[in-house]
Amino acid sequence: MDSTAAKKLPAGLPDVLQAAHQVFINLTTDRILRIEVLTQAIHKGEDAASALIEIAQIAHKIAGVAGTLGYPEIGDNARALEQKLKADIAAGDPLRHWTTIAPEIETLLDDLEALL
Amino acid sequence: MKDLRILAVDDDRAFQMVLQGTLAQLGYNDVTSVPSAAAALKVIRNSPHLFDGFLLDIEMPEVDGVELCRRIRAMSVYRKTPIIMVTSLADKQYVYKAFAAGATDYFTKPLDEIELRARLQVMRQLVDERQRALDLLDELKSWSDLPKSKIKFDAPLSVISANWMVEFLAMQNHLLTLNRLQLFGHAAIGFTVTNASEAFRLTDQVGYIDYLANIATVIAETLKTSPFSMAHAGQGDFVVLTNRTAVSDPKGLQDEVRTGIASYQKLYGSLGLPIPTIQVGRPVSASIFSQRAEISSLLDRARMSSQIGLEEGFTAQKQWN
Repeated sequence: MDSTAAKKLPAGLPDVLQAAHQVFINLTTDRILRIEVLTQAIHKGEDAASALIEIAQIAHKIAGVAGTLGYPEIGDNARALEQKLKADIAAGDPLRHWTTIAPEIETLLDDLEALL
Repeated sequence: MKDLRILAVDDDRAFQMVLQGTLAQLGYNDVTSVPSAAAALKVIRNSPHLFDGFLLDIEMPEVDGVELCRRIRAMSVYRKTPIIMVTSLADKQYVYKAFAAGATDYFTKPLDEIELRARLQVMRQLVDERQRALDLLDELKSWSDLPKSKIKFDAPLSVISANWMVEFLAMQNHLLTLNRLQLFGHAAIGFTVTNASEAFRLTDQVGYIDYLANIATVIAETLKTSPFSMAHAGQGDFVVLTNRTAVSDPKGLQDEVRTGIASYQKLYGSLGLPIPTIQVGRPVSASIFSQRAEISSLLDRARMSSQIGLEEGFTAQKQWN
């Protein structure tokens, strides 16, 4: 296990989940960068639907494990973001709540950066 | 107890490791994890041993978990193997599609150890139930007079291999995934073999399963005009799930089933078994406002209605009015 991740281990995390925690932290850097690229693409007026679908998929993955690995707030925020994005995508108007969703994405990115 | 051989499919490496770690904590160590439907199908094709159960993430790129479930079900050796879907709350609406594709059960992310433990217990029960049925089938094929497996009179059992026969647990799980409108369109009807315990006592296990399979076939023949699924719930009780409008005359249905059974009178006589006495219950439906507990008890209420019988049920109802 690398020393950076070891310092960040949440208290009480079972031994059996420590390797999973390491993988989650390692994936987080790439996920932050990918979400930033996608949000910039949306701001530039590029294909918003594709970008938001991918952000929802990343949020889905974060929501699936963050709580179990000791970050319940990040898990809850990612899940809320995933649900809102999917609702707007399903409604055929992916940007209808963009002005309120964009700050939530920024908050999630800040929380993820704090793990590194 | 034999370890279950499980194949887990999820495209998130971190979740795979969380799942594998939690399963190990619960005592399940024979777990293979793969990141995609394509990898899963490759492992299934190349594996020298059969898997006892599958855990499939619903949301995956390219081929999703619902389609993977359908493809696994299409393989004859996995036609009845437990398939548990893994889903997030945001994707819960896809669970219904997964059940239509043949899924047995589901649980939600993030992982809850208690929920996972419960789901795996269901998986183990289904594996055990299937093993009993396979053992009995082997015995039927070998014409052995000394059955090796043990079946319990009270336990659910798949008594015949037919596309309308499902496990009782799978039927219960399926009901819980229906939305209110879909649920409102269904009715459960119980069929009780009131002298099943006598047949269980008089014959061996192979004979008893044959006895139940014959009854299931007669019931199915009377229902053939509507789509239905049937489960044997144990104690000689069958439950049928069908369209709400399919059975308007339970008394007429009971007469038809009894006539069908009577045509086998000579066969039962030659086997030294009593002619099955069938009681049909009133169709039981959920209301549009049903709560989860009421839905869970729907099949039990159908069983209870057939155990009481139409005549006594009618008398009891009159006394209430």
